[in-house]
Order: sequence, then structure tokens, then C-alpha cells
Amino acid sequence: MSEMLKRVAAFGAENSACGTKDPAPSACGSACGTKDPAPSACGSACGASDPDKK
Amino acid sequence: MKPYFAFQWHITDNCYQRCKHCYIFAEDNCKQLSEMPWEKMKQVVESCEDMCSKLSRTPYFYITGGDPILHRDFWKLAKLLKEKDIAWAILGNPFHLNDEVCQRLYNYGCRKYQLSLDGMEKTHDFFRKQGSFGATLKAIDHIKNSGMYCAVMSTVSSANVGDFPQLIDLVAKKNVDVFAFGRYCPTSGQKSEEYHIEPLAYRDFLDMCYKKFQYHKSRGCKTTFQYKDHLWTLYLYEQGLFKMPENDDKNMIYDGCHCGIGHMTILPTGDVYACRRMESKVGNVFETPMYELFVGEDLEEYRQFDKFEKCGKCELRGYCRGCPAVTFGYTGNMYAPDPQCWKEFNMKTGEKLC
Repeated sequence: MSEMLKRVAAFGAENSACGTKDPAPSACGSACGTKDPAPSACGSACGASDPDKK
Repeated sequence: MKPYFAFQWHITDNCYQRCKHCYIFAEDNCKQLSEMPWEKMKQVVESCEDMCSKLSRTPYFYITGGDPILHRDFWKLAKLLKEKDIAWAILGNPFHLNDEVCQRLYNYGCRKYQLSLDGMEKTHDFFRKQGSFGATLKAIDHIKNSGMYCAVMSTVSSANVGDFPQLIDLVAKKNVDVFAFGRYCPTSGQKSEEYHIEPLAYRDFLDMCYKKFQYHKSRGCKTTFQYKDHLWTLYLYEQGLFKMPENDDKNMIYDGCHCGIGHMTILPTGDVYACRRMESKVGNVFETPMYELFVGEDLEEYRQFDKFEKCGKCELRGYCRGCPAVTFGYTGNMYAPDPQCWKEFNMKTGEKLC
């Protein structure tokens, strides 16, 4: 794995550059709201997550 | 489930619209329309599956174009993805959609159809095509009737920023599942001036949007208003709504732009980009497997977190970094300061950022 990727807490994401994320519930923490964005199993390395999951 | 990895896959350039801000048809791009042949499409799916398998990720295809539904083998691709039980969505046009087509898409496993609205009718149709606005509103109903998620995405610039209060009301009224916007990526110096929004004006714009979102949510609106632009993180940080954990590692990347991290883009020619919103070709999937491209040196150039000139001094580096594609559009350097970032000082150290 690349040196830079080793510095990414988690590199999974479902939204593309031009795409929006699904509104479905997920375990992913929010970049923007009340959830803790600290290192975790969530794919929060990659774009703003939903602030209010359905 | 393993985390998703997103592939934004442009299967065709063919499109009934020639949107003024489209990067595909901008300047001298796309003199000749391309469409990926069926045999090559199967190869792409296999290469993406192989990459995800090696990275312990779940593939998620965002099928787009052009208008992907115009691809002669679109439905064969839909069937293939259904057979492989691969998650997929469409970023497409409103034309050709009716209840029957949307139901067929849903039955093939398409979980989300993303449309664009770039303002109210006059503005939207100016950008896209006469009648596009009306067709989009009808398409929202068809998509929702089918069971697919309906997402609406906007591109904001100085040309349409004034439409957003009404636009937010509209998507809430239409009960779309997801609404988000991204900033316009200039494709020339002239356009960067023509469509520019000043940093503080952009902050005010986010403030207006945030208050609109809260208003609609307080009235029971079920739309998920996504904070897609990474400058939302800065706005929410200043509002006290985003807090960095005290024990975070300042060397790590927790959030922000996922270019080269969580998604890749494939064009009809097989060219692979780090991000479609900027010139960022890293290879071609028909010459090099996707996994090799992902771990290769070319893509690593888009993950040089220490090169961010302004963000490198900012306490939010691990969470924001603005939009490198917008920055590239203005400056030709994705690591230059984001042209809409209004932050001046590191609030932890007091250091001036630029």
C-alpha cells in the first residue's frame, strides 16, 4: 500500500466526485454533524457524510 | 459489509444536452463522441471487481455519461450488474424516463437515480436545454414511484447562486431523497472569472443553505440535505457544529476530498481519472488493471497531503482541504489555496494561512 494511503484513516466511500451518497442508514460517522470523525471502521475519509441519516 | 469503493463510469459521451458548464464538452474537449463497446464494458467490471477484492472493498458503480441510458448496450450492463449483485446508481438525464423505464431500472438493482437541477426554470433551461427543467420535475416523480432513491445535484456558481433559496424549497416540496451541490469547476481562465464567487459570499451562501435545510427539517421534510462540498466542514466548524476529536493524529487524513482514495473515474475510452472534475488521467484500464492504477505512482500524485499550500497550515487539513478540482480549474494546481476558502488563520496556533 502506498505511503500516503497509510495516512488515510479509512478510504472507503460510496459517493463519487459527481455523485451523492445514498440516504440509507450506515455505520459511517458524519464529517459534519454530531458523530465523532476519529479513526474508525467507517469510510469517512472520503467526503461529507450524511448529517441526518434516515 | 466491506466499505464501498466508488467507480464513476462514463459509458458514453452521447447526450441530448450540451450544458454550459459540462466538463465533457468544454473548450475543445470531446470533438468526437466515444462509447465503450460491450466487450470492453465487461472487462471494466471484472477489473474493478478484482481491484476491490484485493483492497477488501465493495464496488459501487455510478453509471453516467453523457446520458448512460443512450448507450446501445445499457440494459445489458444493467443485467450484468444485477447478476453480479453489484450496487449501482445512475447520474443521468430526465429524458426517456417514465414509470415503466424506472421500474425496469429498479428491478435491475439500480438503487438511485441522480438528476441535476441548476436553478429554477429560466436558469436551469439556460444552462441545459429548453424544457429540461419541466422534464426533470416529472422524472423525479417517476423515479420515486419506482422505489429508487431520487437524488438532485446542483452545480453552484455566481450565475445561479440567487436561485438556491427557491431551489431548496422546491426539492423539499418534491420530497427528493437527497439534495446536494458542488461548486462549478472552471475549464478556462475566462470562466473562472465569469462564474466566480468570493470566499465570504460563499460562506454566506452556505449559511443561507444551512438555515433553509434546518427550516425544512423542522417541518418534517424527509430530504437528506448532504454536506457534499468539503467547505461545509469549515462552515460547521466555525458554527461549533463540527468538532475535531482531541486525540486525533495531525498526520492522518480522516475526511475531506477522497480523490485517489475512495473513488476513481473511467471514461468511455477506458482512460482512468483520479477525478473527472479536473484533468487527472492516471492511465487506461485496457492497458493497466484498475488495481495497478490504484496503487501506481500516477495516482499517488493526487494524494500528496503535505503539498496543500494553505490547508497544510490549517487545523482542518485532515478533514476538509476544500475542493482540489475547483482549485485546479482556477490555478492549474490542485494543491493551491481553494478559491472559495475564507479561512485566514489556524485557530489553534494563530498562524496566518496564506
